[in-house]
Amino acid sequence: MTDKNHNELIFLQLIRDNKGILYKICQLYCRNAGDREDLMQEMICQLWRSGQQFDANYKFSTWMYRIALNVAISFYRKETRSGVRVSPGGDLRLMELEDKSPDNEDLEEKIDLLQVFISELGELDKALMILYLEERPYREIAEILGITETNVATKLSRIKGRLKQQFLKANKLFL
Amino acid sequence: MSIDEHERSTQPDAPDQFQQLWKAYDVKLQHSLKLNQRLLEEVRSRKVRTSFNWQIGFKVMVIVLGIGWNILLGSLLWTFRSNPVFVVSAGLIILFTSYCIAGYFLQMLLMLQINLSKSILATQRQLAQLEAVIVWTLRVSFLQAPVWPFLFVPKTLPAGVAPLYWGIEGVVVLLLLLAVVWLYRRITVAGASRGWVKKMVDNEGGKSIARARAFIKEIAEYQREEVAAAH
Repeated sequence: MTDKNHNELIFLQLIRDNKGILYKICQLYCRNAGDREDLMQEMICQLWRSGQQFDANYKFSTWMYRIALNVAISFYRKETRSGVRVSPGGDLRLMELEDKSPDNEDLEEKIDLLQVFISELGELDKALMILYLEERPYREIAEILGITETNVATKLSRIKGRLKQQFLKANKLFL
Repeated sequence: MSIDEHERSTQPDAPDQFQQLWKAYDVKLQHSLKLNQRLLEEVRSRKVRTSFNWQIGFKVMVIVLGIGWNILLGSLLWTFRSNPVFVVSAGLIILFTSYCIAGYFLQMLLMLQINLSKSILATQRQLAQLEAVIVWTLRVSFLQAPVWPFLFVPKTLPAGVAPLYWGIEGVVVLLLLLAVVWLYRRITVAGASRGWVKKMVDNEGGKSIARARAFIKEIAEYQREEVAAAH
């Protein structure tokens, strides 16, 4: 197997392993399905292109979150896409939820609300909250965003307070 | 390589309700999220070819053409050095072109420096700076327009023609001045996300950085909180 093929296989495996986080970032940064598909393609493309610059001194997760979130934030601020969109096969999507039926309606509703409230945050707060929900350590969140751990804690406390208020207003007790 | 689990235990608190909700969402995704392998490979191979590199190539071409144009104009300036109007107008155009060359060079350097794997604040700041330079270069490039009609003023005009010639010249310059003032006021960083200004900035390679400037405020806000937190 050539190095190129080997790298491609590793890359495809990385995407498979981390498809959940990429999907969640797309859900929170884009409102419509077409944009989400474009963002997903853009993130995968940038991850592949940045692969050669990967510094082994960094943790893989730090590197991946930085690229995915940087792409998502830049993409979010765009009004139009590049026009280069791969969509062979009509409605086929890169990632798709096969089973959409809710297991627990109350839980599903809360998850939906959480996504709506987070998607209303500013671009940076949104990135911060995603990293927090992914249970990344404060040190790593600070490293990814480029702020101090103290600042991470301060901002998180403010954002969580706001989210709790929103849940209360929506009559979904969350204390 | 999946995200390492053991690091998660270093967060100060046990998972709160938000994190538990998120985890439930994650479990659902793990079970039902399917990746289209064929599309994934196609995206990787096709989209990579439509990279940022052509924009850097375009800027190199503009820089080379600009330098060539300045050399040509410089040699004409030397040839027609006895015509003061030509000397002044050609000199001004060379200055404007040099400024634009420097602007394109700076854009190219910034584009080469942008690294998405750096911290989010650092990267977004660089993107915003790039947009500001693109918009500023565009504005300045239009400023030379009113100087152009003077480039073609002959050293001497036939008797009786001069008043008419200067009258027409004056009208043309005035119209160009008005157009330049109008353009200068509209090509702004704030306007870079709207209408034709956006189209022009997009053509200049700003598409991937559109609306970055507005984001500077949020970055500045984050930095302010950073200072406040430190004290």
